[in-house]
Amino acid sequence: MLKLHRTIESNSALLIFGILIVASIGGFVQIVPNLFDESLHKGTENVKPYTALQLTGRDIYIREGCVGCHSQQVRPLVAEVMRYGPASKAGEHIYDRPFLWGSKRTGPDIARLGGKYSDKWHELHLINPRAVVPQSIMPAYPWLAKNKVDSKDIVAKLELLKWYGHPYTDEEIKQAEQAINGKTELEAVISYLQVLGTFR
Amino acid sequence: MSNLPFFWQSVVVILTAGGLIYLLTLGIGVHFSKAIDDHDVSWDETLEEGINPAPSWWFWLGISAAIFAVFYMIFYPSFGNYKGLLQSNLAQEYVEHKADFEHEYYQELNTLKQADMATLQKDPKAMRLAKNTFSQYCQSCHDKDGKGQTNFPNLTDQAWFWGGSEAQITQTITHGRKAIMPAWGPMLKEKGVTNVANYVKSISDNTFDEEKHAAGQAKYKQVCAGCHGVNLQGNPIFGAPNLGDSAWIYGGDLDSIKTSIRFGRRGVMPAHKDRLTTLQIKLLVAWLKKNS
Repeated sequence: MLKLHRTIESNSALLIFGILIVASIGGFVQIVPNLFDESLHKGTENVKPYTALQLTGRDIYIREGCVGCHSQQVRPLVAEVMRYGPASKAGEHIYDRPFLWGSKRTGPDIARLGGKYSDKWHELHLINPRAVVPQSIMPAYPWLAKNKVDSKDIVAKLELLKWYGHPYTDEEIKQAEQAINGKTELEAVISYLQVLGTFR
Repeated sequence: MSNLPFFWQSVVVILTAGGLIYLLTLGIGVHFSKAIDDHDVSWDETLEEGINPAPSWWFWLGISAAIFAVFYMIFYPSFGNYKGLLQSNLAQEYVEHKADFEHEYYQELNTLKQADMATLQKDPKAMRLAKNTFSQYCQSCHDKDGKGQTNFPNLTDQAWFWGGSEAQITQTITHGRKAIMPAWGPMLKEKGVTNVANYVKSISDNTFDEEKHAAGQAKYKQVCAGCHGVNLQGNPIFGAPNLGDSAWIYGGDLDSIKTSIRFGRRGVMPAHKDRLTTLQIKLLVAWLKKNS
């Protein structure tokens, strides 16, 4: 035992390797078995894969760093459910790759945002949040209204997601580019925001 | 609370229990064993490695943590699929907390549920509740106290585009509304748009330009009167606003009116049936009717 100890301690490469293995056991026990827990992978009744436009909006949501200030996860606490809506369930997020639960609430949680406001409100609010909510500290995103969405890689994106098991039909994939062509980034983001939380 | 297949459950159990036992044995073994000084290494000639036991506060802290972990695993769900003695379960806890909450306020909520509009409007506590609900769910569009802003109607005036009765307002909040003003630009052409806009504006603010008025009136009767009424009185069935009064959703200046006619408008009031309770809606209606 002491001999083994001595070998490991006097060989820095072995020591680093050993530390890595020991330190990763905790993570391994917590993460890996859950990948095989069927109940976490079953979708809710209403869950649907994102359409081409919603998916594009979601990518813009990621690009603009919205997840840094808005969480998308309502915890099962009475006060929180009263404020934001029904608690989030794992099955709502089976088509989120990666999930955007976030952990920071500088702005409100938006897990149940879909349908809360009209499209027009979102349009005004994203271009300049102060236009509708005077005390808002959210940054303005005026360029979303000017930029057209990038449609050239949408087919590849959908094909990759299909390979992961998202049930897109060939028809949807074929028409994806046409479906989002000419749309502004604003329209894409709003279509994504309006579907948030409607999968329960 | 997890629902793991047998293999992975075993992996969790073995690694958790094994890890704990291994660390405890190692820690205790090292702490209480006699130090064997077989270190004969030295660096830089004088720097030697000695053997000192870990400080006892550190050792006992580690041991206590391990003992705590054992009790935690007995009481809480953390050991494979074992549910723990306390049967702790977040979903169940939520249900219980909600029941507690409802029980605590049952009397008050029930009184509010039974009360009629007039009583609610006189009850300052109910009105404060309604105002809080309003600021949380309605204010971002209808602005503070419901006075509205461009694109979003003022709720404190007499104009109710979808009807101002208790039942109509309840319907509006519960199920939402979708208004469709079609784009008339292509049909009326620029001249027609200007004429109709002038006509509508002249009625609403009592200015009068005979020439434009006559031309606009003819077009108005032809295309607009179907929804907005011959006398511009509007129609709450379509949410078609009264154009003769001074209340405007999209602005009452000539340019805004022209834009509305030329491109149309899509007014949407979202449905709140999944967000607000019947009582909350009732309180809101009482508050709105009181303020308008």
